[in-house]
Parts: sequence; C-alpha cells; structure tokens
Amino acid sequence: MVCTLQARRSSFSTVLNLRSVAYATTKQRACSIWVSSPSILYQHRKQPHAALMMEDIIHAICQQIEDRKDLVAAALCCRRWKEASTPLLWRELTIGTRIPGDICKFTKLANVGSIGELHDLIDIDYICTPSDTTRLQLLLCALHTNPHRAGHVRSISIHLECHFTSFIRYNRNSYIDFDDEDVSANVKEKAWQTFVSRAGLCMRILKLLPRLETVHLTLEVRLEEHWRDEFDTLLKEFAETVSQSGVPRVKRFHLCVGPNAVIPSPKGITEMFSSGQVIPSPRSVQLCSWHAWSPSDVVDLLQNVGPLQMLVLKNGAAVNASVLQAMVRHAPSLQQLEISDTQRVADNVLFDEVLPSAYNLLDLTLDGAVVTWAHSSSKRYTLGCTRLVHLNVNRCIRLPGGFFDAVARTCPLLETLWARDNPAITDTHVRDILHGCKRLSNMDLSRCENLSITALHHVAEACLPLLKNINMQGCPRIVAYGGAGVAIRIAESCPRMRELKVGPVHQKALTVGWRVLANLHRVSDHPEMPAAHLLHLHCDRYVALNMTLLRKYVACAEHLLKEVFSEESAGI
Amino acid sequence: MPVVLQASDNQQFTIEKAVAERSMLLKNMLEDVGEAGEPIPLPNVAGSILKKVIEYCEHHKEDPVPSAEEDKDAFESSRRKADDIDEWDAQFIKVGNEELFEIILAANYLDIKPLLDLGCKTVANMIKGKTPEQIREMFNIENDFTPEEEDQIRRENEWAADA
Repeated sequence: MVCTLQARRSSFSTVLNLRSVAYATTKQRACSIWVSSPSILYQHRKQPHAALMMEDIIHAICQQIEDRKDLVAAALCCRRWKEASTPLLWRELTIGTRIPGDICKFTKLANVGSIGELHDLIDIDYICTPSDTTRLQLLLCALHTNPHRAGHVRSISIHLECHFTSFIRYNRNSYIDFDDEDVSANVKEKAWQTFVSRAGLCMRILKLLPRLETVHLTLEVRLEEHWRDEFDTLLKEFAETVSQSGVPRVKRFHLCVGPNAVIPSPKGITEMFSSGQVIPSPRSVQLCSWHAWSPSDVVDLLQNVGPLQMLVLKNGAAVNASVLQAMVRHAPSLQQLEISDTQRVADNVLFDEVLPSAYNLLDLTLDGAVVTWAHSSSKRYTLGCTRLVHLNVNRCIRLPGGFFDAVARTCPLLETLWARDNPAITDTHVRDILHGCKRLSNMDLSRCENLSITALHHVAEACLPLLKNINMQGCPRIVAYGGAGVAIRIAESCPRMRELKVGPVHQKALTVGWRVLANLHRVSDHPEMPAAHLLHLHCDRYVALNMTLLRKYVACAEHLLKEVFSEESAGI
Repeated sequence: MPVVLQASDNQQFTIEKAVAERSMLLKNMLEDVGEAGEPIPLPNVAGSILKKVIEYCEHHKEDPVPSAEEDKDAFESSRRKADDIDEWDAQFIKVGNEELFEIILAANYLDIKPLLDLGCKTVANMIKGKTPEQIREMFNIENDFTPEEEDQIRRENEWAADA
C-alpha cells in the first residue's frame, strides 16, 4: 500500500503544472509547522494560524477587504500584512475637486427654516470644504515623500466637479435643496477659483504616477459663460499631463459627463481627442447630462473617439438616426451600452444596425428607450450579443415580443433580466428565456400585464440553479388565480431562490394561499396554529416571499395550504 | 468513474469526478494521469477538513464555470465585489476560526478559487470596522513595527482618512 501511494504521489508530482507545484511547496512549508506540532503553536506560543503565515493567503484576504479604512487597519497590523495591503491601498486612487463638499454635515445651518434664509447663509466654506484641499495636498506630499508608493498606482479616478446643486439637512430628518440661484455670484467666483486650484493639484498628482494604466475622468461642472475658456484650457492641460512627449502613457481612458454637469458645448472635450496623439482614445464615454448638446455634438464626439468598450447616453436630447449611425462603428467593440431616459431613439437603426453587430456586448440597458417602433411587430430579430450578461429593457413599452424570442435564442450567459413594464412579454417568452438562459439569477418582470401564473409554473419547471430573485409585482394575473403552491415548488426546485415578489394580494378568498405564505414568518414557530386563524391574517398588497424561510418550512407551508384550501372549498 | 481521495490521517473519500474537478489541482492531475482508480494522497489536508471541502464541492458541482478573466472589464469587477455571500455558503462557512483557516489552506492547496474567496471574504468581514490592535488580538499577530514605522503608515494614508 505504501509503495502504491509513493508511486502514485510521484506520478502526480510529475504532472502538476508549475503553479500547482508552487502552491504545494508554499503550503508544505507552512504546514510543516502545524502538522507536526499544533499544540506547541496554539497552546504555548501564541502564533497566527499557518494560513496567516502565507503571503498569498494574506494577499487574498486583503483583496477581499472593500473599505479603505479596514485595509489601512490591516496594513498597521504587522510588516507581513503591510506588504500585502500596501499595493492594494495604492493601486486605485480617487481624487477630485468636490464642489460642493459634504455640505449636509454642517450643523451650523441646523436652524434654517426656509429657502429664503439660505441665500445669506451659504458662504464659501460650506460650498468648498477646506479639508478637501488639505486632502489633495497631503496626497501630493505622501507621493513626493514615498515615490515607490506612486509606482503602485495603476488606476486613478479624477472628478472635476463644480456645481451648486446639493441639499442641507436641518431638523434631523428634513432637507432643503439648493441650486445655482441660491448661491451668490461672489461665492460662485470663489468656488471656481478653489476648483481651478484643486484641479491644478490633481494635475500635479497625475504627473507623479509613472506606471498609470487607467484614467477615469468625470466632468461634473456647471459652467458659467466666462469660465468656458479657462475650463477648455484645463482640459488641454489634462490631456498634456496624461501624455508624455505627445505619446499617450496610459492604456485606458474613460470619460464621464456627470448628472449635474452643464457644459454648453462639448468642443473642449472633443478637442482632447481630435489630435489622436495627445490622449489615448477613451474606452468608455458616459454622458449622463447633455441637455445642452445637440445630436450633432454627440456625433462629433463619437466620430473623434476610437472604438469604445462602454457607451452611456443618459438623460439627454435625441438619440436620432445620425447619432446611432455614428455608434455603428463602435458596436463590435462595445461591452456595455446604455441608452436611457433619452427621447426619440431611432429604433430601426438601433435594432437593425447597432445591436446585430454588437458581438461583445455584456451589458445592455435600454431603460425607457423604446417607446416607438418602426417595424412590423412580427419581424424576426437578430441580436449579435451572444455573451450578454445583463439586460435592462425596463419601460420599453413598444418593444415587440420578437425581441424576447431573440434573447432566448441568443443569450445563454444572461444573468440579469430587467424587463419591467413590458406589455409584449408573455408566459411563453418567460418559458423560452428560462430554457435558453440557464445562468439567470435575477428577473424583474414587474408590471408586465400579460404574464399569468403559468409563468411561475415555468420557473418551477426550469429548476435554474442560480436563480435568486424574481419580481412579478403588479402583474395582475399572477396572484388573482391563486396557485400559491407554485411558490413552494419554486423554493424547492431553485436552491438559491431568496425572494419572490408578487402582488397586489387582495383580501379575497382566492388569494388566501398567498396570504398564508406571506405570513409564514408568524406561523413558522407554531406549526400547530389552526389554519382558520390564518384566514384572518392580512398582508401588504405587495409582498416579498422569503424563499429561504419557505424552503425551511416546506412541510409546514404545504400542510397549512392544504388545510386552508379544504376550508376554503367548504365555503370560508 | 469515482475518484478516491486520501487525507493526511489516511481517511479515504470516494467522490464523483465532477466533484473532484472543482479543484483545479485535481482536475489537472486527472487530465494528465488519467483515471487510475488509486487513491490520490493529499498529505496536507486532514480528513475532517477534506470532508468539509468535499461538501462544498458537492454543493457547487453544477455551478457554471466562471467566465475567463479576460472577458471582464473594469465595470464587471465592481459588480463582483458588491455581490454578497450566498445563503448556503454563509451557513457552510459558519465555523470556528481554526477550522476556517484550515479550509482556506486546503482551498489554496487544492486550488478551489471560489472556496478560497469565500474563506478570505469571511476573514475580511471579521476585520471590518476593527482597529489594528483588535485585528492583532483576533489573529494572534505580533506587532513588529517600530513606533516610527507605524506613524509613517498612518501619515501616508492620512489623505484618505475622511474620504
């Protein structure tokens, strides 16, 4: 036996790849300490567990720490932890100009009673928190003092933010919103000067980072007319800082125009890329507020940037045919596309030219974007996005059923489907999507008026292993015809189901089963509770069934449903 | 064909190949050596821990293989981090510190990334909101910094203190 094992061990060691050998060797080194004498380690000498002596494990733990404060605490434990956490602490930096600062924190304004009093009270210190400038100076100082820290930085997010839209908290839970007109011209000027000086500090920080790979630039500036030139100069300076002797030194650049921005013309932004040499062409462009821009401004921008991986057009003017035509050349490289809360989307170009060639799309959001439909509703659609993971077609009221057929045929990797308020989606579409998309984990089908209890039966039959949450609230035919037992079948057949949202649950006899399940938390500890008592229990109109609880008390729930329904059939 | 694993204390476990293949180490071994039917010795994993690891692999044997890293862009990684621990996993990992670290060691050795991530995430959750002193006490870590070194770490991270 020993010989066999030895021989086997030797044959295995010859086939292990280099990485596995490294794993085993490191592991054995650490394990030799505790396998041989664990009692010495844990009873007499207080030592960390062998796992915490291994650098790759400490590194793996540090990688899971999300809060920077916790990562700093980990770095302060001992040298070994410091070594593991320092590169993570410096890998990504987020800096910015932050105007307005965290204004709601100020208690001096606690007695503000009306918006009228606000104008006199808001001064420069409220708009521009002085510590935000200090923070940038401290970072600059830290990078100067420890240049090797600067070498860890691979990614930086810079927020150039200067607007006057915020809120102030008063009387504990009340808030006053304030906007541009509530701030005096004098305060605005001072705020702008602070913005320019902080932007300068950001540029100096940027220059100190030799191994930067990714830059995220968010522009959230509400430009006054006379600030425009200075702002365009700032963008030019930024572009020059990102380059080195005219050659881009970062690999990835992402641009976001934030929701509070008012930038009347994108000229300065477009010019950043137009030379094609000064700054790398952005991989992502997010325009979250572009009311002031015309479609031709967006066309200009799209024509001047290289193949995009992410494009977000949100809350702006028309996405007309020319904007979508300019988008076609980006379609094959796009991984994320969002068109939401915009008007007059030219659906024919989007569905005929953009989506069929978006082969690499992982995330598609068309929230409220399809409110017209130029084609016949019986057309067979083709989607190029076979790797789609997240799909959001909420409020696409004109989206035809054929689109959902195409999703079921084309997107086997789909994990999230948000299709709220879609009248075209039917039980058959749900069945086909469940069969075609086995990795689905979250589905929002709320307020889809044509869905019935049959859709839930399809969910129970599909037995999807990763399904977690389903929202079918506001689908009137889900609850009206009873059938609460199907919820139990779903809890059993989908082992990871957490929540099933349904409603409205009316106080009618036919919906009593749903009320029982919604009240299961009350009866789970008292399975002997008479079912008749349950008939008098009420629940909210919209309920979220806890599927974990349901799974735990399947027998109890089934028993209660049987008892309730026999009484119901007896006329209760 | 079933696979037989032998723990450091000679306990043997017969499992399905699909379960064994959740471990990249075992998967590579089985691909290269073939299915000889002999027990695979795992001298670094005790029987009680191997049993837990097998329980995890059995529960997750039908999970889809995660997409390759290169398929994921920056926006994907932020989503991954926000994702919380699965209900079954949370119950599974409710063990004492000693057992938790041995599961982590075994997952690292057997190269079962989701289990390693689960274990490390649990440790990271234990660290959440703790001071360095509390973390040291919790894991028996000795403070080997000089006061100056400690001060330097605090100073260089001061810029993000209230962020």
